[in-house]
Amino acid sequence: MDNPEQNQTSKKGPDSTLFHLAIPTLLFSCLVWWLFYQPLPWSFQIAWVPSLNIGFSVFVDGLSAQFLLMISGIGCLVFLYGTGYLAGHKKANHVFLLLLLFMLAMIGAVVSDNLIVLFVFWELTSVLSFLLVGFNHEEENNRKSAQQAMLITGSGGLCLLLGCILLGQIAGTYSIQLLIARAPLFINDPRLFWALGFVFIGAFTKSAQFPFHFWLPNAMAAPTPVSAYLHSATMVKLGIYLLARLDPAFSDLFFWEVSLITVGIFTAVIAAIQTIYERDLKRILAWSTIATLGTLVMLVGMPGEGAALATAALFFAHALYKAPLFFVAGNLDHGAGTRQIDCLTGMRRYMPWTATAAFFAAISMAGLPLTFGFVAKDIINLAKSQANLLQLVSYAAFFVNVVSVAVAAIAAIHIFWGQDTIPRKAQPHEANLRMLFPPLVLAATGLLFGLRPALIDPLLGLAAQSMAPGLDPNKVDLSYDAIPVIEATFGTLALGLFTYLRWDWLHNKFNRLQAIQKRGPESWYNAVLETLPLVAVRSTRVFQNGMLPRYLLTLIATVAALLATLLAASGLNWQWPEMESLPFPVLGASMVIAAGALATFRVSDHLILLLVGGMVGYGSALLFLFTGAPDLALTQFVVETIFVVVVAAVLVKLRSFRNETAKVPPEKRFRPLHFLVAASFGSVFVILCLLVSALPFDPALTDFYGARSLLDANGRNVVNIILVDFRALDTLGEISVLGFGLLAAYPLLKQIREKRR
Amino acid sequence: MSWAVILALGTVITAGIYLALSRDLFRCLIGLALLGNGINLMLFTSGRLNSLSPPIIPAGDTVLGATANPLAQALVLTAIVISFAMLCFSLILAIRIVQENRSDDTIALREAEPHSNDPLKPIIEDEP
Amino acid sequence: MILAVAPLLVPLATALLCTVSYGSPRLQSRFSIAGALALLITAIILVIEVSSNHVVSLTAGNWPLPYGIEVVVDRLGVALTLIAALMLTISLLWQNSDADPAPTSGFFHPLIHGLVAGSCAAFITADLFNLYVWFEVALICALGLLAQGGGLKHFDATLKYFVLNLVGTLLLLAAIALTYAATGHLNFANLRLAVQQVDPAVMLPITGLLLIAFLVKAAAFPFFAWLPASYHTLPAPSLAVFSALLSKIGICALVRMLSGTFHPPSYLLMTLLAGIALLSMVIGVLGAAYHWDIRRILAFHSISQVGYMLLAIALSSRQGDAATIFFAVHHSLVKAGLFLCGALIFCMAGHYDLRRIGGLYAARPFLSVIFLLFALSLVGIPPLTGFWGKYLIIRECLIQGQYLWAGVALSVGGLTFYSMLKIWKEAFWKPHPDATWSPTKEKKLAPAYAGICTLLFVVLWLGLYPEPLLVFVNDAAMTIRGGIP
Repeated sequence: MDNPEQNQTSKKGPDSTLFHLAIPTLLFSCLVWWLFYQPLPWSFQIAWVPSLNIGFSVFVDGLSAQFLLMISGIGCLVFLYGTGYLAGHKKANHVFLLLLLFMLAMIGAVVSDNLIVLFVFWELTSVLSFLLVGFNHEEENNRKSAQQAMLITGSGGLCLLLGCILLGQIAGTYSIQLLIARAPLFINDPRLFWALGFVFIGAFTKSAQFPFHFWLPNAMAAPTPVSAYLHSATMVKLGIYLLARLDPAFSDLFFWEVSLITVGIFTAVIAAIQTIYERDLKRILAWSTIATLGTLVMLVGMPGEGAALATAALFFAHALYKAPLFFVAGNLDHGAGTRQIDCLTGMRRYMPWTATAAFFAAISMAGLPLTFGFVAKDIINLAKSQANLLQLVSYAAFFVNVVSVAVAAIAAIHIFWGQDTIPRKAQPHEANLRMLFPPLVLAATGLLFGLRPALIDPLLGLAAQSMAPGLDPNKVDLSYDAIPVIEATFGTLALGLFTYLRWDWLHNKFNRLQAIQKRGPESWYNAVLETLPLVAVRSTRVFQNGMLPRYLLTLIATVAALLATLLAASGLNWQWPEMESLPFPVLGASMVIAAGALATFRVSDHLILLLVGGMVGYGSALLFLFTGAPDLALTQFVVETIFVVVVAAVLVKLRSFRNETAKVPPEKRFRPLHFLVAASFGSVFVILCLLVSALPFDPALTDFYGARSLLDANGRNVVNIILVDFRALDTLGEISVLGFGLLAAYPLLKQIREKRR
Repeated sequence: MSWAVILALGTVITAGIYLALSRDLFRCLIGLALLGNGINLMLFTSGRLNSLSPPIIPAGDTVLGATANPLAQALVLTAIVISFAMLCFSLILAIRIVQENRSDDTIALREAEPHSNDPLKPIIEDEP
Repeated sequence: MILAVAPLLVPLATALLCTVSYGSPRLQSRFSIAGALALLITAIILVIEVSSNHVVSLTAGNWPLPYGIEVVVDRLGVALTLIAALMLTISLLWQNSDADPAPTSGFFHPLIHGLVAGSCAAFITADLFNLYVWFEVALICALGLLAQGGGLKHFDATLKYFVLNLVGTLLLLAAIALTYAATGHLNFANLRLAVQQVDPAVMLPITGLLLIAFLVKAAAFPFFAWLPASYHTLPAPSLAVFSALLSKIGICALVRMLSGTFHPPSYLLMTLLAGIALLSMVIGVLGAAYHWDIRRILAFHSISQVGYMLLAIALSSRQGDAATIFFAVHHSLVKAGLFLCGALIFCMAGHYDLRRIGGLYAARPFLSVIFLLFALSLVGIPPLTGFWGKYLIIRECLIQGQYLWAGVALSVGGLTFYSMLKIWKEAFWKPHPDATWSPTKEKKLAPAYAGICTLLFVVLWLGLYPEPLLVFVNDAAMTIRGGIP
């Protein structure tokens, strides 16, 4: 329930209303004025990211213009409604800011001709929708709904990106107009199937098509003006807008037609069934929105010019009747404090103007004559009869219409007529002017276009032309011959009213289908969301287990395995170095080294281990001495001595620190796995060393150093000259390591001393 | 000549890795020291062990004759000093750890990544 | 030009000054800030120089090549140096605030300059052994900064960091020994020629070992354990520098090796690298999904993001390299920004664990917007930097027909979104679990906000107007491959 503060301060109200309304109204009026004078299509370009061929190429044709009018027109009314609905709410300004950003993003999306730029705005609308759905974020359910909406549309967005890039690659352009023009050239490309598949997923998530539809009813957690604007009139139609945009390019594809019609009609039927077992007016409206969206997807998929015109008409009709119904739901919420249809009857007495708006919107929704809904239904029927649909699809569409009539009856009759028998805490009251004006205006517009469809002919004609380029917008005539159509509509109306009268009975019947609902797509989403932490905990506790030896084991084993793979991949016909004669001192030193190393396997006492390890160091010193490296030998000798002496001293000291009652069991004397890993690591390195030492050696560097050391650097000890002159930068680094090592260790040393005291 | 040295350094590397994999902190550090030692020997042999005479230009000559590879020696010298500095730091660190933890078992050292009893979530740590 | 070595000499000299002025904290922090600014100016001058003159290079001691150690500041090096300088400045600024600063022991300043010196030198050196030396400089300074904390937690982190990274540098040293033995050269440019003469059967495992050594430094799967084990113990200023620089050292070296020196790399190696990249992405993001401590979540995301960069390297094309560099720049800025946001959250709400905090959207809307923008950029929501990075990578994957790679990259994007939403939901939207909580007011946060807003400004600018950076990274990739843009 998003019932905000009701008692607003009248002083502050009007000022902020004007303030909030300024930009949308300005936009709307500019647009109307501009569209009046500007011949369509109209386009211009701004460079943005030329190196990626992404530019702001704006392209406004009939379809864009239609959307622009809906976005800005309904936007104005939503802002006006919002100032009333959210008056006194302490975060109302946030909503208006987000709504304004949303409006701009929507405008950006419908005017851009570049697929990637369209995607940019598309994602922005998703994010803004997320923030708006989670507006009342103190409640966990609302947070979850927001997350759901974001994850579903966000993932769909990722698929769309994939699809757009693929389309761009196939077509060699990101421009939608060029893509349409070039379509015949690549229509048989096998990648097209995948590209369109991903575009479909993107569009279906955004426009709440099965199996991604479930986020939309949950998104009703948003404040009502937001629901009316984003989740009924504009954003959810963006997916269909994209499909309609691409329709001229792909409408001949069998895949295109079949997927859209199937998904569309299936969604519509599922949503119609779901509508019946809701009791919350807003959720009922949400499900019926999904049903309409399904119908729209189906119409986009249907071939023919009539279908294009029908799509354009339904876009408009839906915006004109669904938004006011949402406003009505908001008014009821505001005035009566509930949206449950069981608690709402006889509201006509308290809220006459809301009832009027609901009535006019509802007759349009039901498709009664003299409304724009009727006009739309008429064109749709015409399109269906042209398109040679399966009989099944027609039946399904009929069923969807029946339910929408019933929903209209709920909104107009059930809630406002009859006796108010429900005890309430406070008497319901009519909403203020700012909340009455928008639904009344929209419902009246629907009526106006219903009476004089010719007023809207040119715009719908142009919009349809964008989807079906063969259509001549000047020949569009929406006027209808009432009698035969009324006959056709009569069945729908009668069954719709029947459904309305038996709503509760059907509700109970359909409740048995709950079992299916429990296994539906929403449960898949929940299952994924529940599985994710399970997978995460497993993988993280395996790989980041907190135990240093295991980390090291993973590292070493992987290195050994990778290197072994690479060695094996290189063919195994290895060239070993020759066995030269071995001077005795070198052999001796090598043996000392090896013996020291081998002995460490057997030693358990730390001190002895240290001494045995020292053997390796001293052995290396000996080796250096015998192989012409006296400087190295000296350094190694000094370093090793310091190391052994210091460590020995430390070890003796440390015995006093250690707590011998350690909780973990002591280490095994011999660790076969570790030995295996160590041995394979060692062998790989031995093989590598042997392989490289069999290669010829390029002495260019050493020759140069030998030749120039005395002449240019005035030193006879070439090693020293290399260190201090040729490679002085290494020595700078080495000294830095020593210096920083001291800085790093000094605080620790200080702590050790303090702790001992 | 290289065969003997390479086999020797292979054992050193194996022993170093084996010790480093131990959960005993000091074995681990000594293992790393040995590993460093083995790899320094690798670096040393990379310059080839063709000559046993030190790379010093004898008095009277201006150019170095056929001697051991001076560049490899210079590199090893740098590497020895660096690994010595690293090891000294690690020893001091080890003393501090044992001083605080009263144990030199690295498996028991779970202060930065504490064990969690919860089947799904990590434990909540107390901030200082 | 002497300017080429400035990125390492300036911070080294500053570190020296800071050490000398150890006794006087005020003097020390002044030296420190002055040094950071000097580095920033140097980096900016270098960017201008490099943009017009291709590269700025210097051979130490003026020896002819390849006998002296060469320092080559190219576009990649200068980009990362600039980021290092920027992060250092912000980090020192942050140190003056109350949002989780480092302990004021007098060792922080010299060590962090040392870390920057080591990293910058590693970005620009053109000599393999010299690279090893600077790796060690960066490592010892990092260890010093980690151990600064003084608690057992910090020592544990330091030990894990030390052991795994030391093994990494030792592997690098071994790879250098083998490379030198096989080719007789150490200078990158000469190695490039010399490698062609060596039997590829021998060169393959050597290149592999070198690659692994850098993968350890870059914290790739399965070598990443040191990163999530240690990052969360760091105070905010160090953490920002760590997250911006350390994994980039490995990435930078990998790009240089695989696309420059050891080019063309073998198909097998690149396939293995791609496998490692994909696993890093997945395992990293799963780790983030598991954790509830903001810093740990972000640390795991670093692994996943490293996966993206590795994937772009594995594509082994010029566009792939350009994507890597773009992504590296993006990740340095955004991840550091997020870690700093985390510190501010900690400072306001009193804890890093999401289960203990909440209510920040209502209390601190400005901070919420900052966090949201950084988080969305990390996820790759357009038109922020992350989007362009991911777009470049995915496009190149699709061009090369690697549909699986593109698919995994996108799915991981979805999971990244999930865990960013988790932070947002828990820390910002959820009411604070302690009903009596209200954010503390008397803390000094102006320097912190100044720092983070600077970062945000850069991120937004690069996101909304990516063209200059895209051109720059394209030229950088061309330079690495030996071409002249």
